[in-house]
Amino acid sequence: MRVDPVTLEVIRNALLAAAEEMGVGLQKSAYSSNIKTRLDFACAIFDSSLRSIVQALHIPSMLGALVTVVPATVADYGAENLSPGDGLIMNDPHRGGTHLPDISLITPVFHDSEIFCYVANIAHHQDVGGRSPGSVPGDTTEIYQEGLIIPPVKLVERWEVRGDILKVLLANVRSPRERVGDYRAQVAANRLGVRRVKDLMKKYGVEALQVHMEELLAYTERRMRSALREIPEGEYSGEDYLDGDGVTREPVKIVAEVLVKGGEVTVDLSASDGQGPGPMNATMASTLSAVSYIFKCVADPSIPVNDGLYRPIHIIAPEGSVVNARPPAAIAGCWEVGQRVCDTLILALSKAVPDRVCAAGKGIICNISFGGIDPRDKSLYAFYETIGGGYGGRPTKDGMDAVQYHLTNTQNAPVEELELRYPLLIEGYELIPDSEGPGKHRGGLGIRRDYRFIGHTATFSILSDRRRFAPWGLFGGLEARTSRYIINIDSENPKELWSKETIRLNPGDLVSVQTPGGGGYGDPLERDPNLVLMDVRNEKVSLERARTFYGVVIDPTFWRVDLDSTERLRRALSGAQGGESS
Amino acid sequence: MRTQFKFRIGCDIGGTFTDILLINEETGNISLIKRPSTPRNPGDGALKGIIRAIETTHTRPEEIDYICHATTIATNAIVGQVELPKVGLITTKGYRDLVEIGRQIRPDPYDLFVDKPRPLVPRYLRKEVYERITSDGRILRELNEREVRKAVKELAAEHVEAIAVCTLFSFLNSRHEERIGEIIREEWPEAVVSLSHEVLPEFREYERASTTLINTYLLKIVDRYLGSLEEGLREIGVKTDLLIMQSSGRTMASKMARKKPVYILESGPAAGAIAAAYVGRAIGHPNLVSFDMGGTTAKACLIEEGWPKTSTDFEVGGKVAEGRILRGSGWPVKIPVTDLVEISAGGGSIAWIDSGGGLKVGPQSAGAYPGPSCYGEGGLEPTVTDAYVVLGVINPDYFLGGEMPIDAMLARSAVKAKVAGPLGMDEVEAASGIAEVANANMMRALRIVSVERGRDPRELALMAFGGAGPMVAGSLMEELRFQSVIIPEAPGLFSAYGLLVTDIGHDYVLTRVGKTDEIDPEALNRGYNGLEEEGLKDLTSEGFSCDRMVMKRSADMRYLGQSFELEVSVPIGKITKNMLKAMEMRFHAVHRKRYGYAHAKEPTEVVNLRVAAVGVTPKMKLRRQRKRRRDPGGALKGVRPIYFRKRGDYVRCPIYDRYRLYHGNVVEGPAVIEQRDSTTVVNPGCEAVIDGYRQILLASHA
Repeated sequence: MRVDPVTLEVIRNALLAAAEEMGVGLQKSAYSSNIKTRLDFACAIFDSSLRSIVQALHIPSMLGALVTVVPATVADYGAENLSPGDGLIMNDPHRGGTHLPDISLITPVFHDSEIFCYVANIAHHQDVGGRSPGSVPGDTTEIYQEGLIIPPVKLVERWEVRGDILKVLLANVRSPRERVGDYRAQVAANRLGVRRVKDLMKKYGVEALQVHMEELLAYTERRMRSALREIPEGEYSGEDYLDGDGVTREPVKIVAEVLVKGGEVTVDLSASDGQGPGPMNATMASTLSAVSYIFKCVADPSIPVNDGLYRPIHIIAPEGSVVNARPPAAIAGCWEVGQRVCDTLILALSKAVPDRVCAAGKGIICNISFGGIDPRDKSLYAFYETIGGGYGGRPTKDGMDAVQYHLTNTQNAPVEELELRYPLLIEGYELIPDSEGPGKHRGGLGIRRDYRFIGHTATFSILSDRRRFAPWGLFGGLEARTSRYIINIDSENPKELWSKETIRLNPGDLVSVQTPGGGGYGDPLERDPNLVLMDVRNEKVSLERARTFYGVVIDPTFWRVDLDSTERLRRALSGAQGGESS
Repeated sequence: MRTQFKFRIGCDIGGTFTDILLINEETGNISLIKRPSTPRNPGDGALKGIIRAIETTHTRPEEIDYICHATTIATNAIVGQVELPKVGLITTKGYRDLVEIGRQIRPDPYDLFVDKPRPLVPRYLRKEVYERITSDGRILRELNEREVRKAVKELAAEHVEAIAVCTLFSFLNSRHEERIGEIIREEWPEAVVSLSHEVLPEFREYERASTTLINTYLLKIVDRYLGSLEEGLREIGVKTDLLIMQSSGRTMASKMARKKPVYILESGPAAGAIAAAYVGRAIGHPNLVSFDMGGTTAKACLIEEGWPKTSTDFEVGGKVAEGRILRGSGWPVKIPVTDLVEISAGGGSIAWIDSGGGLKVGPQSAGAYPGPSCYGEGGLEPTVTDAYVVLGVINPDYFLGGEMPIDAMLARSAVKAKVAGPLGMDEVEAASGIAEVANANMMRALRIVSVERGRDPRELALMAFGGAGPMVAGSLMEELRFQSVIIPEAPGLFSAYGLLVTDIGHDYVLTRVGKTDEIDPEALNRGYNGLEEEGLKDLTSEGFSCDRMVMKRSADMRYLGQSFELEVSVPIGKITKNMLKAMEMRFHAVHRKRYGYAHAKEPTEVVNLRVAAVGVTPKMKLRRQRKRRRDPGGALKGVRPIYFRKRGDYVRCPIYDRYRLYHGNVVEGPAVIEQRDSTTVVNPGCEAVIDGYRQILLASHA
């Protein structure tokens, strides 16, 4: 059968529309705000050989999720044990999953008596039990503490949810009624997906659809390979560290050796540290998300995502390492590890394609969760959020101030919404001056968010990083300020916290969470003095810092750059710098 | 306000053209003046166009009863095409960076080079003052007035022209904002002031601040623009008040728009949907999808029970990818905006081959200049219009009624060079492919407003207009199985028609959060009464008597603990505990309709109170023709070969003159119906019926 580019484009649109429609359905009917407003889910169609044909996703952390979960789950359960209208669920990180709150549902689509393809979705449930509300604890030592583990099981049989299994699922979570809404939404999404795929099977015929699906994979692969060919061939390596494993404060090393050759890339993570005793461990799925995300960004962000995208990307991640942990490792911090894998890869690629990368940004997810008893109505409350920070400086422009970074893109909670609901006062939510990594193109500023707990004792958890190792700069750009976590910053005895802690707070306590800035790109002495002037005027960079790091002398009365003094100072500074380095 | 109108004028300023539509309701005569837009001085272009419309039709200016204007001035100003005034912001201590942090998201997470929109006010013009109101409306920290005076002096020294004020929880307790406003006026009477609780007394501080700032920026610009237009109209003797189209699809008096300019941001795009909804109501098609395809974009809008929906999820200056808003790419403005899906696909969209050998159409457009290759203005890229020229659908001798010469050879060679050659096809196959891929893009937009919202196209009509809509609508109908296609009498002017058939209306909102079973009904009564009083005042000042006012109440509600709301209608009258119960039931029902399920036992909460105050304007009547015979033979103007993909070849096709088709005529496909501003394709297996309003109804025999 002949594949023509017109029918191919029409079928591609139709398949993507089907997956997107599943996503819209899921988002609308789910209950968890992670699904609803943070778009922390993905929908996809897989062919009978378990290759992804089309994926609709918003959040980069989901890039490697379904492509790992679906083949693993179906292989484990056995395709021969599936009937029309069945749905397999699964969340086990050690069987192909990411972290426990990400639950997948997979449904086969039959043609006559054979499986033609699968539709699948994965969604972040607000809670899956375990030792802390929200199921992202910061101090676990094995997976069993993090929540309910669901191996591949049939939750749905001929479109009926199996009550006995559902009972088990709900008995293990904190808000069962809401979780029913999430499961129901996942089932409805697959049902919609099956209907749409069947429409297409009828319209184009099974054979033609099959042929065009195959061609879609080849098409994406062609585009990915041609984009990868634009990266100069060679071996590039990068190395970076996590503050600690969550139990000890020993740094955790991540090493990426990247080999680019013949339109393919091999990412060897073997030299990374072994898995740790705490929650700072990744699974193969989360590592794949990080790696494929970086290559999608650097190669060509517009390439449609299917099996063809991953074909030219090879990952070597030894089992038992921090990037591919073995059971029963705790993995609640897998996205913190993922962020660092991204940083490491960018560092490696900066040597190959310096004009396509950014310096290191905040480098963390920054999981903040807390809870207690609300003194207003004595009810139990729990809250979870992540906080943005600086983005890395870029070849042509500054890094953004105060944004989410790499694998995550979660919105903040409005302060008025937060205070209406919880016994809190957010005393400030602002940029941190001088937190940028100086550079010709400076990094973005970090964020400071100060939480005051009113009239009750609360439990406060941080699962974050970059307290010790600052986001680095590139090509002469300097590092940014690290993260900091401080209790009672307004008192005489402020106390600094580590990046992974769970503590008890007294009524009236103030916790200041301060996220890192982004590293600079290029020599700060080459920064346009007028940009430095604007930064100083905007109080993003202090007068003093403008002199020391950028060599720019500013007259703060008339807001002018003193050009002569600047030139002299820059000459002196670059002389001193040159002397040191040579 | 009179109940019967004689002359109506609609004036729509678009990117390329300014359209002025003048209708004589007594005779039914419609005249259209199309002039190139004058971006430097849009008001001048509008006024000159209106004068010309009046002169060419020998209308007496004082006989004009209704004049409505859609303007892009506000949007253009915000996206940087008009110089903006210098604006300062005063806010609560600790919140100076509120408008810079925004929602902390990247508009596109896969693009390392993406940027957030620049902050609406640079940091050095944002001032903090000591004060704090808590979530129960209590004053925790009294306002430090000395700091306010200092901030105002500093802003004055920076020569800002306007100051926006947004403090936390001002929608619950406006005392501090009001006091800051007073101090500004004392210290510096020349400054324009916008207080957030007056512009948008709604919670979520970033969105409220952003809306307030946009309003502040626009105050002077819109005031100046509309002021001079009003004056110009008065000078030529127009007596009636100028009306301005709002984003919501309703209008407001120009003098009101000058005070609340943020409401006219999306003034233009809604007009087509409004026209479609109006005609749909009149001809008994309350449920339909309006589809407006022009040169650079296509817009689709779901119309249910006769009205398009509005949403408050709008971002001005925001980017859209394949019909979906890239969240965080623009500045949020929480005003009601007609909920339509726009995609970059029109007659001018360029076809190209990507690095994987795939055929793509758009999002690049050849624009007005050089335009499609066939225009002969030097464009070398093949566009959708070029493809339709190659396929024989567009008549080179009758484009815009023959005013615009078309060179079919140029179309052919562009398609050949850029698409057919690289793909190893002949140019006809390639042209047909371009049309097909463009249709696939449109289908995405149409799916978003229908199937994705749980609506079955088989129960909906597709109303297609804009220059290119009628050309593709038949194929879209067949692909998505719409019930039928309706093509209005003058597809090219249909959007402007929307300006003539809508009501005046104002939207008001107030946040009052509380569990539905605990909230004090009296608080809601006070809230609604306050909003309705505002509506009454505004409509009265626009010349409405009470009998022509309609107040519509609604509430945004949600399940307790969720962070998104649904709008639920609320009956007029005193709110009681029982009525709150009914609202809760209604919420479950709306939730079920929208999302397919409801948690009937879950507690709910009320979040925002809304009132829409509508001043009912006399509408035009559609004129019905008497029915004639079935045979359209009298309108036959020729035969030419036209390519149909279904047949895989050119088919000798009858060409009909739309102006000679009458009620009752039936045109069997394959056929083409030509008119000055558009071309309708009747596919093989379809028929076109002319209805009593001279509209074309397309239906499939299948």
